[in-house]
Amino acid sequence: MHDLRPGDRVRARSPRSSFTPVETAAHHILVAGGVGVTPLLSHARWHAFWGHSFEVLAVGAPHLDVLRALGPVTVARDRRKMADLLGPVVGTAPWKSHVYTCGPPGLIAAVAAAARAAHWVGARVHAEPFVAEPAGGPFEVVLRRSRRRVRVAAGETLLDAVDRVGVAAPRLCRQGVCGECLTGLVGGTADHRDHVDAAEEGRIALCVSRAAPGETLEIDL
Amino acid sequence: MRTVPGVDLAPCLELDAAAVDPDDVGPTLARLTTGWRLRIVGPEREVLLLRAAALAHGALDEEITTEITTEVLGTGVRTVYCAACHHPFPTTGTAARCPGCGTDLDVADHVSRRHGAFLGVPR
Amino acid sequence: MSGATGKDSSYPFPLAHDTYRISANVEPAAAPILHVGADHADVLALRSRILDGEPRRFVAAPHAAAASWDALVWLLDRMAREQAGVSLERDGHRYRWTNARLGVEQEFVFGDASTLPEHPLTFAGRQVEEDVVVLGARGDRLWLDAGMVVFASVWSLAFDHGMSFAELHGPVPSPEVFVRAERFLLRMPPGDAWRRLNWGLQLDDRPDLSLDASPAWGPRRRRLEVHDVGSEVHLRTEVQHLVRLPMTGAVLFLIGVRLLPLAAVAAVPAWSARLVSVLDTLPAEVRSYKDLGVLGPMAADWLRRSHE
Repeated sequence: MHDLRPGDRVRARSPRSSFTPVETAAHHILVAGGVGVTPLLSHARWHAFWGHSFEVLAVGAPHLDVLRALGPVTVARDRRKMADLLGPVVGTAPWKSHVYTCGPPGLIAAVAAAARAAHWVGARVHAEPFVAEPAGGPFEVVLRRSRRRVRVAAGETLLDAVDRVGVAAPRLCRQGVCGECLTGLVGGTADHRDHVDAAEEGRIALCVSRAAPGETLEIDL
Repeated sequence: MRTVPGVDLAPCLELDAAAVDPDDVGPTLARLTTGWRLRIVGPEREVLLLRAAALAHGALDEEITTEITTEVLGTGVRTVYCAACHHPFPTTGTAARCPGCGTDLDVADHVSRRHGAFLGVPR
Repeated sequence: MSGATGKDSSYPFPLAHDTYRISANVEPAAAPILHVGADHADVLALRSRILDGEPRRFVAAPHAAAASWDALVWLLDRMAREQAGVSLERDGHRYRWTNARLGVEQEFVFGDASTLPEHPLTFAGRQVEEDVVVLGARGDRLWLDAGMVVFASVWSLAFDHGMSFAELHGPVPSPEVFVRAERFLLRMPPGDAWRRLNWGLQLDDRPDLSLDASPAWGPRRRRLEVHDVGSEVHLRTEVQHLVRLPMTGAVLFLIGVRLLPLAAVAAVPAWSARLVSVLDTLPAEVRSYKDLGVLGPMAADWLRRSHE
């Protein structure tokens, strides 16, 4: 992407998302951290269009003027102020509310904690992490069809490592949710971290899963 | 209707299914904040109808617990939804004649959360 | 009624193997997705007649509004791409829809119910041969939020309204197939379209085998009143399409019914042999679910004899 110049032609696909508004909600609370505001801008436009009740809580987020034109926005000066804000907003939210957070893991955790404190069930709490979850230790993977052996560093995902050596692999959500990057697991024991039961199908989600400690994986790539 | 401690000490509204009118569930829930749970207690038929009303007003499965006081499930009165004329009516047993259209129905083991009723299949 | 009798050569024969097991059997959809048969006008007229006579062949939850508009625009756009005399022009949220074949001309504003003469789903559902169901995606599950279904096969849309995908398939054997199918559907990217075929046998050429109408067709079916198997008994193929709607992520489920008399099946020896083989080897629970306990062997015997 960084090699692109103005005027270059790119191939675009329609957007995909596992972070969509819940249409049964009576009220939507959108919590934006930094550039995590991006998907929530679409949410806000959608709610404004349909006349849904919603509010935005933002910390360090750009495009505030756009948001303010759509609906009520409360801005927290920093993460600590945001934490102070969340308790009352979540704790007094009307029946049938849902909360959606996009931002760094710390913000997502703070919202989840506020929702738990207000006794919300998990099904009303939605998040899109903007930064990948911290990865585990290093391991090695054998790419069977490409006849390559790749070392995956600590903090690097299997998908990143495969990219690094130039082997093509499909991917989409990078969160173990969409199933796009599922690849046959031919050998080794994996530490499965996906949400699509890849293990059940003898496959592994390249974006989130790793080798179990001390294991070397062999995958069908 | 009373407040009782719920799962994880969440505030919980207990509804006596035999006493609460399903039509009153909407206004009652609208006064709550998100985080409240519902506990519905009573005979099977009334519990299903009240649960249907709670679901229609936005409660999630995760927010509802039910306790059916009928001794053996399926032996008491159930609501049957006539597939032919869409009339719901109370009955016992596994066969019934629809009071709405006179069709003879077999009661299927298929429950609608929305109608709080079992499917009546025309014979 | 001659609803979708499939006299055209492109009958979607549903059996790919000599034995049949309930499975998700999906494949990528190929154009055209929406069927236009020789009896198109008759099928659409019948659809409207059933809907007008029984308004509960249409259901829509209040929270299905956005997905219903999403479905409307997808269907109209699809028709415009696939069919002659049909166009959809767009200017922002404003659309102009022309269906010259039906003499329908309509301007509407996306999301504004007052700009359509009826609900978006019935507006679209009257102009396609397929039944239309909108499955909303919430909490990692699919929910029957809205639909216009006039050709149901032994189910009732009004009863099933509001059910989860698992609840909908409660009466079907092999529930694990539907657990996997739901997971698959929830992973579909927006705009994706898949196709699957389902099948059954029936005593007549009625496309409407809904439970709602069962007093009209049930008694004859129970008595198995058949005078001429070849012309009366029909293979019922349901061409089902599953589309992930682009704006809401709801799944649009389209069900097209195609009926073919056994005599026409017998005219294609490969189809006849395959159907006989499938009927002879059908597992008991599938035979019972499809109500083929007597009709199945009757059809198989007739097909066998027709080749002697």
